Amino acid sequence: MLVSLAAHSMATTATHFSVKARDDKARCGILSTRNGVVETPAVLLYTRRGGPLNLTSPDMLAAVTPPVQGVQLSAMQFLENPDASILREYGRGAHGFLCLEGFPVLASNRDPTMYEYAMRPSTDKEVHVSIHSGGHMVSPERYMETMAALKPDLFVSLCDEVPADATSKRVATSIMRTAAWLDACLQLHYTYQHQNRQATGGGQEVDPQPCGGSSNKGNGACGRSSADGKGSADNGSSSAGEGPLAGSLLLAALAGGGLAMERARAAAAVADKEGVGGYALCGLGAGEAPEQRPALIAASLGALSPIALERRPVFASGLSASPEDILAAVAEGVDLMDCAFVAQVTAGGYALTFPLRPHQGWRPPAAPDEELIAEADRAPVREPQPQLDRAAPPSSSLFGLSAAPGLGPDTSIGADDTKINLWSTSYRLDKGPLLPGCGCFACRRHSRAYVHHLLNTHEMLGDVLLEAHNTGHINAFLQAIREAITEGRFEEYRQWFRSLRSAPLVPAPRRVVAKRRASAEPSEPIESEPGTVEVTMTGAMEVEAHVARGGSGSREQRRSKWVSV
Amino acid sequence: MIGRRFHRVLMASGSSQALPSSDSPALKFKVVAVQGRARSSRMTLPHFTAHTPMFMPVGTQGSVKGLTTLQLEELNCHVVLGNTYHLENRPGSGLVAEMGGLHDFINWPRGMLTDSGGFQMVSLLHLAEITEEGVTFQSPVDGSSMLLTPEQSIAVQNRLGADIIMALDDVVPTTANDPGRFEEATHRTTRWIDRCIAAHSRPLEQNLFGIVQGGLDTGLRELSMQQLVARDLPGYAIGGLAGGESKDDFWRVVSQCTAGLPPGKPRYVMGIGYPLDIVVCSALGADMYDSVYPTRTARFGVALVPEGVLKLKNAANARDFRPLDPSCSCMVCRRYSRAYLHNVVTRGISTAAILVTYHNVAYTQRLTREIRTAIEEQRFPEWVRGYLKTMFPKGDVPGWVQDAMAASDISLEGVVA
Repeated sequence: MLVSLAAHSMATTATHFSVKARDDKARCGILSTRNGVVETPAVLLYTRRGGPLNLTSPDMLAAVTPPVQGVQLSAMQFLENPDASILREYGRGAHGFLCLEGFPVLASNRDPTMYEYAMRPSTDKEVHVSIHSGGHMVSPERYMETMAALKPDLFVSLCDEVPADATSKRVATSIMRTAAWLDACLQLHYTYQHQNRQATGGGQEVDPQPCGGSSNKGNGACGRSSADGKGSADNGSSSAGEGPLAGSLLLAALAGGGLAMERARAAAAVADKEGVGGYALCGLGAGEAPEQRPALIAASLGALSPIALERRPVFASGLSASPEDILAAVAEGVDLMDCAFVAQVTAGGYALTFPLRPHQGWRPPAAPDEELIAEADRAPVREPQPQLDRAAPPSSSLFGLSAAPGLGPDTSIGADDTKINLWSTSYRLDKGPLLPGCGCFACRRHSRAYVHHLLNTHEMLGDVLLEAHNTGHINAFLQAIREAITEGRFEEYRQWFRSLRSAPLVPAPRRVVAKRRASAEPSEPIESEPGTVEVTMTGAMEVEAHVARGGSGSREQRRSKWVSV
Repeated sequence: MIGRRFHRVLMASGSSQALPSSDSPALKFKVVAVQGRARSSRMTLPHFTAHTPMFMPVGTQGSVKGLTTLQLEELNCHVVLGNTYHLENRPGSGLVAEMGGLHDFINWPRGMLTDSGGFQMVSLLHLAEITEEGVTFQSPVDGSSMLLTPEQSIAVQNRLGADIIMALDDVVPTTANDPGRFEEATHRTTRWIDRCIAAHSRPLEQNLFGIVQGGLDTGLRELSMQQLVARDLPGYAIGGLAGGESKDDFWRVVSQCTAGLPPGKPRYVMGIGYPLDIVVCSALGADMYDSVYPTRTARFGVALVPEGVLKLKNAANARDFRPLDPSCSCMVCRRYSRAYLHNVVTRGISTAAILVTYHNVAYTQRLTREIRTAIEEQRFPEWVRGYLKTMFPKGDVPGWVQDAMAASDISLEGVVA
């Protein structure tokens, strides 16, 4: 009886989450909503005032490959111009107003590319946000009114956001407020779900009493049929009512700022409260160091029972969502993220180029650094690798620079394994796509040379193409992550990804030695170590000339030095 | 049915010969329907067969303000413009040539037209001086003195590779009060066309259009036309307008030129983008137009609609849930409301500007398509009346439009108050 009631309520929920695979704390899931399905972990498309920055909907949005699975918007940007009354009058929610039909929409309390909080103090009743139209005080009532007008598939409860360096007293206050506001939001969520009181589908008995106060730990007194009378695995917050928020999942804000113990305390208080359909990790991307984040996330999620997390998706709000952020968050059990990263790299003129899968047969390196150094000391001197490729393919003959794949990143122009900078003049004549092998709209249709030209001339189309590519690349990254989790090799995948970004594990060529005296003839090596000259520039020309002079021709044993790149 | 109506029209006018057409090395122009002075035609270019009258969006620096080339195709654009001056600045015609020409560089498979660079030179740069040799100006890069000659303009355009290239003309703003200068410019334009023709190295792939000058002087215009037509160019442009002259002067010059230019060749009125101007010029017998107006005004939050313009930033739009143009079937009008765009246009969110741009291009393409169809279906005067009625519901059609329509043999009965 217990089980069948719970199962029945599952069948009538509109927004519903289930885990399909696990690898340690990382998990793959399916989030079904009325507006589509999201395979998690997933990164949501960033929007500002409801629209993507450069990709028009529906055509360009539909052209992103792999496809955009879901969209994030900040509810705070709908407090004014437009406000809830306008959206209500329009009547078709965010999906209709913003042309996002077919996309699951998550309405959060924050824009990940900016920080709207802490301009002015908040109170116990209201939080202060700074948005496009100025400062606003937002109470749970005003917040939920906006949510009801937006009708998102998921939304975050109101949170008293604090920066990472907030004092413990301030953090404690924010936890208290956020908890009170959660209860208010739960109550209002219930009201907005059943506003147009009609028969719910399928015979589920609904007790019309509103949710109780903050002492309620999901013990069934909260107006929803709870099979066992205690906290249950049933998220229950998206039953089939007919109000504007029927079908919307409430994600409880998990506060606590940058203090792990406080985060744990706050999360434990939320637990699996009735009506909580998921969790939103708030207070991140608020000034804390990236390396602190995993512990903070773990503190929040660790305080929740596995059963509580079983059917509830976890949304990390305000992280940059760089590849490293994503991997760290997924490793801790995060399912959804908003994304500032794509907007930021696009604005910087970058195209993401990091590899998405280890090559066949890649294995984590076993040897520690010291061993490799010793090995390098014994190895014969190697010719320095010129940075400029004189044997460049015809397409880049004019400048002698090559961005051809396989040659490795040209760090002198700011390229690394993650991205290339299309502002660089090395792409002026590059007919190749942004990323060879990428099937996205930009890579199929246009060249690096064209994108470089568009950036140079400040044409909007440059950003359009970069955003299409970068959004697709991040989506493909998440696809690879989901594969790794499903196949039980997520940690190995993380290691491989980290290895791309670590310092080279092979010694640099020996070309750094004693200083050259200004008065010395350029062709004359000076004293100190025999036959050696320090290059004052990293230019390959000098190094080549130096080698040609036989400067480092000596095969004497020398300590290799790490060259900082 | 259409064929029969053509036949009646031809018989009524007393002529029974075929409709005008021309066959140039790189361009075939064929009028497929005539009504009054207006004509609907097909222009076969090396890259594409365009339908005229047509509006050409301007992709100044190699892109039409945020729109992808796929979107331009979906919007049924046939020919797009590139600005020689800007493209030679960045990225440079040499680079474009290495990339395979402008078509390949921007991935636009249809028609392309480049201007001579002269107009930007004169309008954008201080201390530009025109001599017999060419246009002397200060380089925008380092202020050094630079010279654009007819030969150089053609060389740059040859490298860019557009289907239609424009001769460098001596363009004087119509507001200049210097008859001697106009006369000098008219003759110089003729001398320069000869230099352009001589310098043109790809006559089988690119069509060199001459530009009729002469200011507002009918005699000079006549002279300019005669001299250009004598060179038997594949097409002719009517230049020197859209620079501040009165509308009355404007339509008269267009009228004189469309009447004086050979009917079998395309007629291109440069710098025309206001929908009303497109309608009037088409009624007078012109075929091609270009302007930054539709795309530029979009970025200022102004949408083109049958009634005229819709200023999206106006507070009245905050709660207006209708589409920009309820009669438009473009993606933007099918999916977005004025209320949404009101809040985000001109607020630094590119997609908003692109959406309005998209609609404005759709609007102008629809306008020219309706003009073509109306001519082909022999109901163009009726269409014009309907168009003007929508735009001037009170009947306050401007005098110059009335005069122009009279000259086009289009009655405005029932439209004018």
